Amino acid sequence: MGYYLRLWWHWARLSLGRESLFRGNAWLRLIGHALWLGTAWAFFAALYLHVPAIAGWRPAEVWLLIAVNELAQLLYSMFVGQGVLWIPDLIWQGELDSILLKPAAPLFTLSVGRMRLYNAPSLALPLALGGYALHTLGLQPSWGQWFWFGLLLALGVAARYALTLTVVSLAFWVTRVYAMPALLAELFRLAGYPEGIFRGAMRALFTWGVPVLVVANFPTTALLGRAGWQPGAEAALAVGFWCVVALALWRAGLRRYTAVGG
Amino acid sequence: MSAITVRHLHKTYRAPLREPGLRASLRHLVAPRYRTVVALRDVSFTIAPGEAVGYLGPNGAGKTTTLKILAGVLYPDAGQVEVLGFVPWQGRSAFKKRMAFVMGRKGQLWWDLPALDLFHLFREMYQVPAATFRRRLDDLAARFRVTDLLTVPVRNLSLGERMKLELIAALLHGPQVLFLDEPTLGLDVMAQHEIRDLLRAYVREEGLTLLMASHYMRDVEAICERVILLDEGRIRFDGPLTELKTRFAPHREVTVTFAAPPPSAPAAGWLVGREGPRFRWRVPRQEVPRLLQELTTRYEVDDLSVQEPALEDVLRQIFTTDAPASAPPAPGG
Amino acid sequence: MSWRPYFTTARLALREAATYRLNHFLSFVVAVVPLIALLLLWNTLLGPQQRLAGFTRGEMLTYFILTRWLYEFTGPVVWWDIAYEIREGDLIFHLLRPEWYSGYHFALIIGSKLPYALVGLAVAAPFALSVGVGWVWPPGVAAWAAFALSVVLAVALAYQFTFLSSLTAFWLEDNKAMNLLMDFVVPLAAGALLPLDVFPSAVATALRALPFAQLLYFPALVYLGRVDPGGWWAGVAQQVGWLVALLVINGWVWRRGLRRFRAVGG
Repeated sequence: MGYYLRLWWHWARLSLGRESLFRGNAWLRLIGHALWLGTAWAFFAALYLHVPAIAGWRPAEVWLLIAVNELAQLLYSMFVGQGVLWIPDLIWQGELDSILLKPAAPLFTLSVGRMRLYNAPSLALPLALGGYALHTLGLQPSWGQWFWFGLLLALGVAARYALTLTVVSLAFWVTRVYAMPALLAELFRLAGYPEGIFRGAMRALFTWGVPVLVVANFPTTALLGRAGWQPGAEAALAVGFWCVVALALWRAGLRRYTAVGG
Repeated sequence: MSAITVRHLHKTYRAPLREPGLRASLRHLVAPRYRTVVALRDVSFTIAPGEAVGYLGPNGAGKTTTLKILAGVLYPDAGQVEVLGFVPWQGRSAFKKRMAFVMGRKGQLWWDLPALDLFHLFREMYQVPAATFRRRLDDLAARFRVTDLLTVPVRNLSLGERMKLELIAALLHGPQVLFLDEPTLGLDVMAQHEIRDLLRAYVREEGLTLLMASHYMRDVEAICERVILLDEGRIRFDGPLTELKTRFAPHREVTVTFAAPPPSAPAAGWLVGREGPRFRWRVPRQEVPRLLQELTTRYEVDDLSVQEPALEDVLRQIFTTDAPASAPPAPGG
Repeated sequence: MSWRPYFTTARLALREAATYRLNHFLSFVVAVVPLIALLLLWNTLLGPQQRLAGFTRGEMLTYFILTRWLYEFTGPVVWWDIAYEIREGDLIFHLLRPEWYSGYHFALIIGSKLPYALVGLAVAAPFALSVGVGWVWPPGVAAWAAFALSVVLAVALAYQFTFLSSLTAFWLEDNKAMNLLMDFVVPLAAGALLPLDVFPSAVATALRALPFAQLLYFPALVYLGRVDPGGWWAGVAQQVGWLVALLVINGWVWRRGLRRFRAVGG
């Protein structure tokens, strides 16, 4: 365990070192995230001019939701998102070899090998919006709620990771399907819509099939004090299921790669 | 005990047959058709610890496939392999820590960062004690004359400098077995020469077991005593470099410039060229002394040379003519 | 001037695009995903008889599905090929040929997007008509004609924005800043995020005055029959006006850029 922690630390330093060469990009990314959050806000703010609530969600609750969603997206892209997306390229270019030759677990190296820690300043945006939303709602979540929130947020990031790994592992069999990760990214954008609009089969689909609700809605309900055990259990089950699928597919893919060669 | 043992290694690939057109691609989705490519057939050899072996063969002969199997990134279809007592494809980290594989066409350094940053990561990955790492790095950097380049972003380095750093990256954890695949690919002649010399010295002094695939015969001539010749997945020759030449190139080329055009030239081997007073013969090796004696005693000679064919030519001949090794080469060929 | 080479270019681009069929199919699925959420959202927000900002649920959903499809053609982008050719100096090959550079890339864009749009239409139409969207048709033949004309002009106008934003490669080192503009600001101003009527009236009035509203919002309103025949001509006149203005601006920027390109030596 200490081995992987130390390796992680080295990868983080390398990523920072590399990104510090492109400082200008950090500013553009900050602007990009601000625009992204601003667009989501503008969308709902315009709707709230005409309706008092959306599927039972009041404005400040939706601000909290889009803040949590942005937070989850950022954490995902900072730590594992880029690394996972790098896998298809390595497979298609036959460059996985140099990673397989190393004594560290290949999936670990691939996942943490492309961190984007320079997105950290962008975290200020959702934190500010989320803080503003909590203040407007007059909410002061307890430590227990914060803990529950943190746990659900981690599950949300894990859900996205597992699903993306599943999709990129298909690259071992299918060549050059660039649109697959894009499809997934588009699906996870739905995470910013309030849970109430997903009903019946749709709710099941977006909890279990593509665990989009797990990403932002479940953690948000924890802060709003609405979460019982159900979202936690659902999230844990959905994430567990997709982790099993992702790892099975990854292993099978790796076996195929080592049988066929790059 | 041998460092590398390969017994009856067999490997085939299935390459999808893709035809153009919409209908063909739909059919491929439903019932893909494949053609079988045999990469290795019944390949066996052993390499002793500290031995440096050149692995030669034309493109597609199966060289890289063999190296990948030995390094553990490919499974064979059949056959046994042991490297340092490990079965490579089991992927034990104890095995990975004792070998290294350098591919001339694929680098692992990061473009934007100095190599040193990545070396520190590798130290952690291979769990090399800090003091050992320091000592090895100083030694390697001094040997390869790159001490000043360790802190320069890789993209600012020349191809040759980059290759040296790639080699250092592979050697830092002190591997006992080194696999090289075309280590001098794309380098200019000077850089090729330098890297060859450095490798030879390092491999000999450290007693590394080396298996090197290369297109450049000079790489092999400079570094290896023994060669394995692979053609269409089969071993065609395995033995000392000198024997390869004796076996496959039993001739020497003798060139003479006579002081005065001789009334009749001596009969020896095959006359392959004649320009005025300059004659060229291809002569069986054992006849060379007799010819030389005849030339120097019976004629007035201005210039005389005897050339051993370059390994490059020997191989080209083996792989292109596909003739039995004992047949005489075609005159003028 | 002959149009043949540009048709040929478009046909080549179409053929090339068609070789990545699976990707195109998937990118279409990608484009449908946000519609699912919008469908769910508007079903929650509006009952069959309710209106929001003057739109019924059917009009609203028709607006989103239609604009999603239209924006593929009428949404300006930084065209990667132009930016690449300028930065890498490959532009020189085009300068050596008797070629209208802007027209060449217009043909490429249309050709590469056509299969995507056709697949989109083939799959979206049954989807839109079947899931209880309450699909709205234009009120008559004249409205269809006005819609078609406004779309043609919008495509032409969008390309002028695409060309202008790509020409910034003469001066900017990368596309990132321009991309932000094209990904966030322009769609909002064009009405791709929401019909402009949903915004506060001051904002909506300001956005309607910008050229971007002519790319998407105006054609969509014509389609929905929310513009009267007098408004058609006013809108089309605006489109033509902006088009002429941008052609002049682009001509000027192109000449300035070329001067810079030739000075630097590519």
